[in-house]
Amino acid sequence: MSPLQPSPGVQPSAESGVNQDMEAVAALERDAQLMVRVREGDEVSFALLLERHRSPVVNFLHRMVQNRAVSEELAQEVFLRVYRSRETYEPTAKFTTWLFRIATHLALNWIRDGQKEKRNESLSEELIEGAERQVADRQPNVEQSMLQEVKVQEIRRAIEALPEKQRAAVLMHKYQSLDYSHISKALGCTESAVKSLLFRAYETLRSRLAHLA
Amino acid sequence: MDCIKNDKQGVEILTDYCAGAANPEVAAEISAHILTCAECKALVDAQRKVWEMLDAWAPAEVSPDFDSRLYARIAQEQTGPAWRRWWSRLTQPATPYAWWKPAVSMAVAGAIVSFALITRLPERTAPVQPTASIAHLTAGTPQAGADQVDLQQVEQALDDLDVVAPANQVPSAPGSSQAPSRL
Ligand SMILES: [Zn+2]
Repeated sequence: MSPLQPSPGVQPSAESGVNQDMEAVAALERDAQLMVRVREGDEVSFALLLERHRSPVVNFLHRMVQNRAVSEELAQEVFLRVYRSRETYEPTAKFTTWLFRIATHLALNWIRDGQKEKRNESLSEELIEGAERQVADRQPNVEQSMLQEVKVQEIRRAIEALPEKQRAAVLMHKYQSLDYSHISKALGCTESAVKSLLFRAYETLRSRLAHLA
Repeated sequence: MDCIKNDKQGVEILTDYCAGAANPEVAAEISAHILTCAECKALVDAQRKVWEMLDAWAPAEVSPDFDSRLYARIAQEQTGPAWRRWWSRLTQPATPYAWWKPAVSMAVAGAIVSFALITRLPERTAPVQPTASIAHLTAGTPQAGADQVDLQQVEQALDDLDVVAPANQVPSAPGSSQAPSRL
């Protein structure tokens, strides 16, 4: 897998705001151009889009549903829907926003569909995965590795405990570096609603994770 | 500058500052302010710690066969009967609620056809006055466009309500939130 390109809609950082903005615009245009070519029947462009967005989509979904198999299944559904709707795609729609809108919608539906039943299953499955990873890593400092794993589990539990829209907003903001405007479009709500979701979520995380600091 | 907690946009400033997304001038102001204000420094430190802590959750590796599985699904769909592809597109649109758009278009088309039929009835039938809304529809697309905007506003309003509603108020009936038409 090739390294990922920067996603469009990235937050401008204090250090290199202008450059990042330029890159974001360029990436945005690139995605739209690729999708237009997919609409015209160019399969290579679809492969390029998949290459660029596969990991961000899978990772977002993984953190949303906290189950690797389910996250890949949902990500497949996202790209299948992108491919299916190539004929009606309009380049006016920002590709990443559209992609994350589909992904968020599928994840929220999955969560709302059977959260209670799936919660225990997903966490225990991932705990086993974490333990396996520890062994596989063969880190010299086992104690340090275990502490790190415990920390990650706490973070995952704290995020999983957030109301699902807060969770989606935080994951897009923190891990996908999407700005308020992109998150609002992906979630289908206003920017002020996104800000409110984010601030409540970070406040909760601050208090839940304070003991780890 | 004002203390973060006293600023109307304090939480936004705090979040952006710790995410490295605040504009340079604001960032410089906060950096200077927290040198002298213990309360704001505590807020910034707490948010910064959370922000850094979340980095510990590393991204997962994507299965090596992800693409091949996806292409197999695409191929399966392409070689399947045309009605199935049509049905998938109709019942599982990429964008949520996209099914409203064809529904609105069909409703508008239906209204236009109905109006055309009504106005061409023989004269012995009582003349039918077009209602204001139908007259708008026949006048062209602006009203149809407005209808779509209205629907988007309704969707937006519903989503906003959803934001406000706690997660445990989400309908728990199996499949209730996964209406086929919305996927
Ligand atoms: Zn202060």
